[in-house]
Amino acid sequence: MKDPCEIAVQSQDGAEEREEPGLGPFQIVEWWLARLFGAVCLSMSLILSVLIGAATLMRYVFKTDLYGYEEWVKLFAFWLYFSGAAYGSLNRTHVSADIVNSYVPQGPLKRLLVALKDLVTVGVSGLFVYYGYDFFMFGFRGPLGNGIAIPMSTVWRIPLWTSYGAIFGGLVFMTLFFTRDLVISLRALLGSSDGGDGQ
Amino acid sequence: MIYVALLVLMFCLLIGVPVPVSFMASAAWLIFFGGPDGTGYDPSQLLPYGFAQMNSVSLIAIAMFIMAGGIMERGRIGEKLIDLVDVFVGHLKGGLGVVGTVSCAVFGSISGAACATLSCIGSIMFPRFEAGGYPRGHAAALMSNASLLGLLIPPNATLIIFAWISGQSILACFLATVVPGILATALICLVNLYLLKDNPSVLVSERRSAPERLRMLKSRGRGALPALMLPVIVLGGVYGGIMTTTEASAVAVLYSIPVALWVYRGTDWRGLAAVVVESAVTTGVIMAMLYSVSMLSRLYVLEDLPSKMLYLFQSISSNRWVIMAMINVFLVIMGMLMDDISVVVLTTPIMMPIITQLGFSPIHYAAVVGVNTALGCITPPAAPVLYLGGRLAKAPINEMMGPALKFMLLCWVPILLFTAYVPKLVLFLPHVILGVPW
Repeated sequence: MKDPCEIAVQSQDGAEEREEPGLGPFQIVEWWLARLFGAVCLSMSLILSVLIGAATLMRYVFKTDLYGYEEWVKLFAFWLYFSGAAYGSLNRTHVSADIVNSYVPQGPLKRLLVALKDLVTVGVSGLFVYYGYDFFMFGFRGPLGNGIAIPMSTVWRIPLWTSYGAIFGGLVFMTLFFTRDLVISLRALLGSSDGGDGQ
Repeated sequence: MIYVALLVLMFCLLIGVPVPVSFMASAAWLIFFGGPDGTGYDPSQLLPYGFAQMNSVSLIAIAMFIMAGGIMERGRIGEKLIDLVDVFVGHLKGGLGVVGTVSCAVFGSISGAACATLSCIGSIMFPRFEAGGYPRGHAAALMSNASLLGLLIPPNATLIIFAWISGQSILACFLATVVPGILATALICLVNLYLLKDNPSVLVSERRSAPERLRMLKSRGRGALPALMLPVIVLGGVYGGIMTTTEASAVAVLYSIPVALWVYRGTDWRGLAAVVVESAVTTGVIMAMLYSVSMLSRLYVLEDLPSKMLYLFQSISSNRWVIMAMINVFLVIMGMLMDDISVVVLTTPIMMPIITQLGFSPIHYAAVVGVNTALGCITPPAAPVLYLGGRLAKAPINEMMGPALKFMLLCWVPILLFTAYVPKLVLFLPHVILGVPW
């Protein structure tokens, strides 16, 4: 992620970059979020490498096991996966077919299709945020809804809402960044911004 | 309702909705309107199902291999590999192309990613090709094709994902693509030599004496050894029964860090942190797809989509080899529209029941998918590797398409036919090493 002073609004088709005059509050928030996700991704990646490497060493060199280490590995893995996914939305690096950006010429039709794409994206991901909240609260409250008998891992008794939270948080931030893209594309469509046809 | 769900998926993909959200959109349609009576499915079971599917240690190998490949790429190992291969074939006419191809195959086995291989090896090779008088279009097409070899020569993320979705052994899937990968390497080298044999602009370097070559082999071999040790550690560890795939992937990360930092001095701590974060984002993007497709595939199975697809195929022909041809065409078309991982993620849950019902080995199908997805990376309109090759070589697309088409027809199509129709070729190594039935 670039320094805040270098933040530019990048068109989604990668055609042109345009410097924004000064830094808005949203860009500062975006910059800090990028640093936060970068830190989570970095630390989770390193913890996982060291943890699995250590378990391998213990098993094959010292002939002993790191008891139940897989439970911790899975927990950190979920945070790595969904922080990475959220960061991917922030950077607009999620995989897409990109037929519209590649083959539809610049103009009102392209702006409309991009806005439609962003609208569908926000609508669907928003729906899954709702499902994700239910899932997270199930982990938090348990099947009885009173915090008793909440789902936990077998060995270390780690509450599973710690992993469910990664999924819910990832979905929330993905939706947030998709909403940012929708706002940009709607502004471009409605003519209040010359943000480019492809945003 | 399943057909409308498929239309929703295609519509979302075509307008550019991110792939994981496209999968969610199709799933959302079925949540509201699916089921035998059209009243939909209970969404409260879907996210837990996806969680249960992804709560697997073996999936972490994808993250680790991507990270190890990224670190090694940043560690400037490409030049060392190229110099080593050059000792053997650099003196042939068109030998520089062979150097590039074999370097891509070796680097691909380290990075497991086509674009990383192309940007690393290609950026070193393209100036050498230019100096050697290679036509730019030929050079771009050659390297684009050769960079796909990493998708066949293990380890790579695509096959781990296939194995995870289909419930097959990762080791067996890795072994299934080895023979097609080696054959493809040989074919690309031969086609390159054939296409350049009468080209007067291609320069031939001086033939070196045997003692000189031996001396160069020693010095360059020493330089390339730390990089070459990575696949040896990973594959030796896994196939020697010393480590699981996930453990080998973590060891690969821990091994690649000092190699990149201190042996090749290709990066510093800051660069290392950047590449780890980049790899984590790539992993996150893949995992978001896997999570959403695991939910979607559950609904597709409930809607009995595999049986409907099989019925559709059988309405054209009941011969299983003809159906195999149709599956290949289907995979190639999907590869023309999407990237390799999206194709695997989307098609595997649908195709696996069909493949087993037709009596094909799932491990054989792993190789078919591997070759098809590799081919898909260079078949327009969505041909990311081909476009990247053109950009790196500064070759206009019209100069590149002719040679690219020749490589596709003379290399990839025969490999695809061999892989699909000579199962013994594919299953030889899995059978000999792991006892996979023919």
